[in-house]
Amino acid sequence: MRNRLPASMRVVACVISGMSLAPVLAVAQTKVPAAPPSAGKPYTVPRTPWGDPDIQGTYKNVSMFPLEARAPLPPEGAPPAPSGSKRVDAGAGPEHWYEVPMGGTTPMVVDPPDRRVPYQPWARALNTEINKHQGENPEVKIKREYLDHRVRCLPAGSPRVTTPCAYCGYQILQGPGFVAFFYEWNHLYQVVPLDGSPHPDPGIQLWMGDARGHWEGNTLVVDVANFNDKTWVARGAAIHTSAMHIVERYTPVDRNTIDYRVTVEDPAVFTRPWTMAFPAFERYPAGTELYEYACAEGNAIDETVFGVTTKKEPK
Amino acid sequence: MRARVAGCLVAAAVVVGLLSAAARPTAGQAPGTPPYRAPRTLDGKPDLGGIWQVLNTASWNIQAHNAAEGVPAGLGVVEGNVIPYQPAAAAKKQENFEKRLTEDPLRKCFLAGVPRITYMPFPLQIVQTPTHVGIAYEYNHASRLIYTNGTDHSGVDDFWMGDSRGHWEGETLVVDVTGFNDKTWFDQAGNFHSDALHVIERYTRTGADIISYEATIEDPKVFTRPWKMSMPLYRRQEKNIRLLDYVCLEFREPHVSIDELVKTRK
Repeated sequence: MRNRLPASMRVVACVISGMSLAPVLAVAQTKVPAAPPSAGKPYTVPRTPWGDPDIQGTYKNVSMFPLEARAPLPPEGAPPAPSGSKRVDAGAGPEHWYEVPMGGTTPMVVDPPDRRVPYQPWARALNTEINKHQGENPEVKIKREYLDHRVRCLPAGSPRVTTPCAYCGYQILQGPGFVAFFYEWNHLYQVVPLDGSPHPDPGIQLWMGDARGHWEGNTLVVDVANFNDKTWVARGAAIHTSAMHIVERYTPVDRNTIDYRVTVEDPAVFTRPWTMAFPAFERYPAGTELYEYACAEGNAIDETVFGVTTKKEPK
Repeated sequence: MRARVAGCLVAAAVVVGLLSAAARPTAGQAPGTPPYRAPRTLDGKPDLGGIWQVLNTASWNIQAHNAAEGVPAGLGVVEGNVIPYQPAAAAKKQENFEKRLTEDPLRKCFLAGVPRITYMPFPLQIVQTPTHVGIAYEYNHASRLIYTNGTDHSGVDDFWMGDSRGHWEGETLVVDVTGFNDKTWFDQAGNFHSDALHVIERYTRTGADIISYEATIEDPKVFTRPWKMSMPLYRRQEKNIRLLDYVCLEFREPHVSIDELVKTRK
């Protein structure tokens, strides 16, 4: 169920990962059915020795999914392969980086019922404006501050770090009192305490937010606050302010799959709270290990997006 | 292989140490006191979990150094204070030192590498399971997974942070790290290595709030013999301690402030 990106896609995908998947997605949709629903016989979740549901393991994305319904598809063939672009370690990663699972057609937004992000009008306008700067319109001179922060190797933020992407594996570790997520993409992490402790002072702003969790039955519920205003809720310029507050729910539905549901609140940007839900994690075969994704160290956007010849790394 | 030899040597040293412990108390330990035994995890291993940080100046210079503008003085963390460079490498180190303000890999927001990431002046958080020790570092949101599941090195040969395989020797987590690239430095003073770097780290709880950290450095392309650095990691005592952010690129990239735009566009 996975499409292997051709070698020629790798450079583009590495450089402009947020954008390059769209055309592949469009192709793949015709071939691959949507992920099967996670209904069936009830799953007995294994327990850790201290009694928490055990969701540990190494996971990958289940599939790519569009963020919202009726999202305008990027033009055919976008983005153009940057001519003469080079990535130092292009093709040097593990196979699974180039095996991006495609085929999900169901939008991640499940509420509101129209399955659209409920932006306030000014925010939808800004969203549209920022999206023009992602390399899909050759006539637009890209404003660097509008370019996807993830393409610039800044942290993905939450919940975007859990939305499907290329080069994204997940290692979940648990101990008494914590669940720790280690993300392959750009070596991010989120250590979630389960001790009922409060968020820090609201003035503290964090790229990944401050996460505090607890178990409700088999579901890990994580309350995340203390964001900055520099990340996107999901790809496609889903902007938010530092006042955003999200509640994530991770539910293991079978031995190999964890469903994810997140409710996003930010009254300054959205007309109402909204929710994304999708199967997020699929267990890797035993023995699979995350690879090192050193983003800033291999980033070529100065050359490929802005046409600036960067200095060669000193030997 | 090297790890196993080292392991045997360590085992022998432990035996000798135990035999002579009563007669030869270590610094800060009353005569006759047995070595510190750390609290255990559920699987019976010493518990390294928590948020820890060095209190030293090794990230500026791992050797003894006087203060310079913006650089605190330090006694150094290298055993004997000598780094046994081969002659050509010593010249390269000097060149690095002279260009340190532009050529230190951290100036480019690159990953700090191992062991340097441990002694950056930022906290780190250790999470421990029977099969993995995960380390989250505040500096640059870096992280490492140390496999303690008995697996051998994966064969990667170009990781900034290396490939880490750990095992327990009594009170000590011993981590064998290989597979490095040649692009990180040990400090801002230009101490460097090649892609033949091999690091053996030893994490030992020596008290309720202290981990003794040692790193043995081998690199036959750069040094004439293995050498060692050591330092304590201290547990952060603040009740509400958590890792915060130091995302190097944040300060180099332009940003759209949605918080500000709300005020003008709404």
